Amino acid sequence: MLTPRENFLRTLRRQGFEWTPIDYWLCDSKIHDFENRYGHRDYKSFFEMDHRWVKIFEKTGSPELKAGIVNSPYFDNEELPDSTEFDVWGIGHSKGSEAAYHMTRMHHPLKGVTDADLIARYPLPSFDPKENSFMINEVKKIHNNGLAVICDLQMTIWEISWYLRSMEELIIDIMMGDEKARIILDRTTEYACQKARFYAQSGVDVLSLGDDIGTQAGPMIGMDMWEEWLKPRHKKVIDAAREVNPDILVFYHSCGHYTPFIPGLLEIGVDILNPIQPECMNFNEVHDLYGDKASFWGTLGSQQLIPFGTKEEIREEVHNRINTCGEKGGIVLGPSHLVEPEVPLDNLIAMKDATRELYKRTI
Amino acid sequence: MSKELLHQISVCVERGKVNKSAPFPPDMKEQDGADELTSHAIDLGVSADLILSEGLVPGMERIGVKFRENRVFVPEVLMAAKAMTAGMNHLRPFFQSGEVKRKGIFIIGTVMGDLHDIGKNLLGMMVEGAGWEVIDLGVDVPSSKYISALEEYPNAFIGLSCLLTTTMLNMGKIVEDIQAVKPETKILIGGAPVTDDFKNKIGADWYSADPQGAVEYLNKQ
Ligand code: B12
Repeated sequence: MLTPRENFLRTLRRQGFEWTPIDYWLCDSKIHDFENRYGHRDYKSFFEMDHRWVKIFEKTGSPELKAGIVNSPYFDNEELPDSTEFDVWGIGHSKGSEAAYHMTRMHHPLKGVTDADLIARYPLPSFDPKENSFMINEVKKIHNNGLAVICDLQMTIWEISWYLRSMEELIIDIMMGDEKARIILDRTTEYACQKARFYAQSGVDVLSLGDDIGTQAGPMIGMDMWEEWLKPRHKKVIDAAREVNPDILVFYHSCGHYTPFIPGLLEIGVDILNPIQPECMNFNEVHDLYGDKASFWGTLGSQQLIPFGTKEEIREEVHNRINTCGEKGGIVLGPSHLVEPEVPLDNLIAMKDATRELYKRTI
Repeated sequence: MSKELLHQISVCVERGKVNKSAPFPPDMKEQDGADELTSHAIDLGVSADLILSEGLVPGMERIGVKFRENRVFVPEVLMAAKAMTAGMNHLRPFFQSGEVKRKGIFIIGTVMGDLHDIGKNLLGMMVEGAGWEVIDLGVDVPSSKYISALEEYPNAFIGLSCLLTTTMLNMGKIVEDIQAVKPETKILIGGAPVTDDFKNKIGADWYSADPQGAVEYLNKQ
């Protein structure tokens, strides 16, 4: 029998597998439900996931910004609610209403900034490799437990840049050829490269990148803009990791419909496509076209199937996916996004059980 | 002459040509944009009404149709809206004096619990570009806020946006609350997970997958 890590990497490399791995991310209120039912919070072990996610420890570039200093040239004189907390990027997050559960509202520090120099000097976060030397041991520990390691470098450049600047202003900068767009995107790319290199040095198996370029009805941006502004920058990040470890697998996440970008993503070295939101993209079509060059992760609908589907419907879809991928594998199954409050825990159990029903040895 | 000018204004809006100094779109560099052309039209004595209905509105409508057909994307719509706003700014005094009237009032907001706003903002831009006044209540909006806005603008139409299945459930509640107070209010709904079936289920009046559909519905009222 393979170790979970061997099974996981084999299926992602489409070399045959013993069982189909799964991946869930539960939101806080769901973890709470889980704990109430099972008396612990370790849902990853409970669901027998073959891998663990890791993340480095980053420091804010500006303690003042993190404290939400009022007289900074940033935040466009916006009145930030008292509940606002700042992440390491200095991006503000304030509480929504009770109905918003864990979700917060974002406040963009670079919104309204007209001086390019202020953007060039904006304090980005940093990480100290020494302080993060625990990562090597952590990766080893997970490997010793027979599990694979994936690191989180999502919101890689495009999303984090829009979180800093606001989507509207970042897009307008790009369209107007304003140097501010280049400055932000270059700076976030450079930082992402540093992290990618560090993760690769720490021995992780999979590098996960992500930047939303799809919406429900179609691509979020045109191909020209993607080719010019994002593709070369994503390539830099992937190259940075591959210089250290040519075998590292690269995962790319975008919500929504992003079929037109897939050939370009494969060209720059992406191996795994996530989540292939089934309400927006047709999995079988994508698999027909790219199933010999890419593996898939997610693919089960967060908008319909996982929250509202019956156990039987979930089982059927799980079997469809595994059968479509066939003997070689090439899929990690999971909901196409975080598991939200309305998802019944029993649906997650049904999903996992269905993957185990087709437990087979195809090597 | 004025017909040609109005057509040019509409092209500037459709292509997102804001003003002369704007480098976008590249093939219109150095040319006047919606800003200069609208101001020029006013100087020539073209009525503000015509500038709106034959210049700005058709430009926005064409981009709306292209967007629906996935021939342009969010960036192009943002640029078109920016060009429209540049033109619209010259018309503000005429709105204030009452010389030009908007077609009606459309109150929009993302429903309680939901903080996505890109789609709602685009909807607002498109409907404004169709000649309506838009009151944007923001995100995470509870029933009470829609209802107090309706007290201020009793004949307004309401647009509810939602991007999450979690908050879709709140949409039904909001429709119910609004209808309990003002049953004659027309409520439009939209956003990624919303469907026509869902509209029927919660008793809203109109669903459309894209803003242009909302514009078409509103213009028929
Ligand atoms: C961009 C995005 C974000 C951005 C939002 C930025 C912002 N300021 O809005 C960020 C990254 C912050 C984000 C966060 C989250 N997101 Co989000 N997000 C998306 C994404 C990729 C695109 C949405 C978008 O902006 N589209 C562009 C606009 C133009 O399109 P649109 O909103 O659909 O609107 C169009 C039409 O629907 C219509 N329309 C919209 N409203 C209305 C109203 C009326 C009346 C009419 C007629 C028409 C209409 O007109 C618009 C233009 O055509 C979608 C993917 C998807 N499939 O849609 C996920 C998605 C909506 N997000 C999702 C989730 C889960 C989240 C989070 C909860 C994740 C988390 N746990 O943190 C958070 C919560 C956000 C919050 N606090 O509310 C899930 C929802 C799944 C579900 N269960 O329903 C989706 C579907 C992704 C997925 N993989 O499943 N998200």
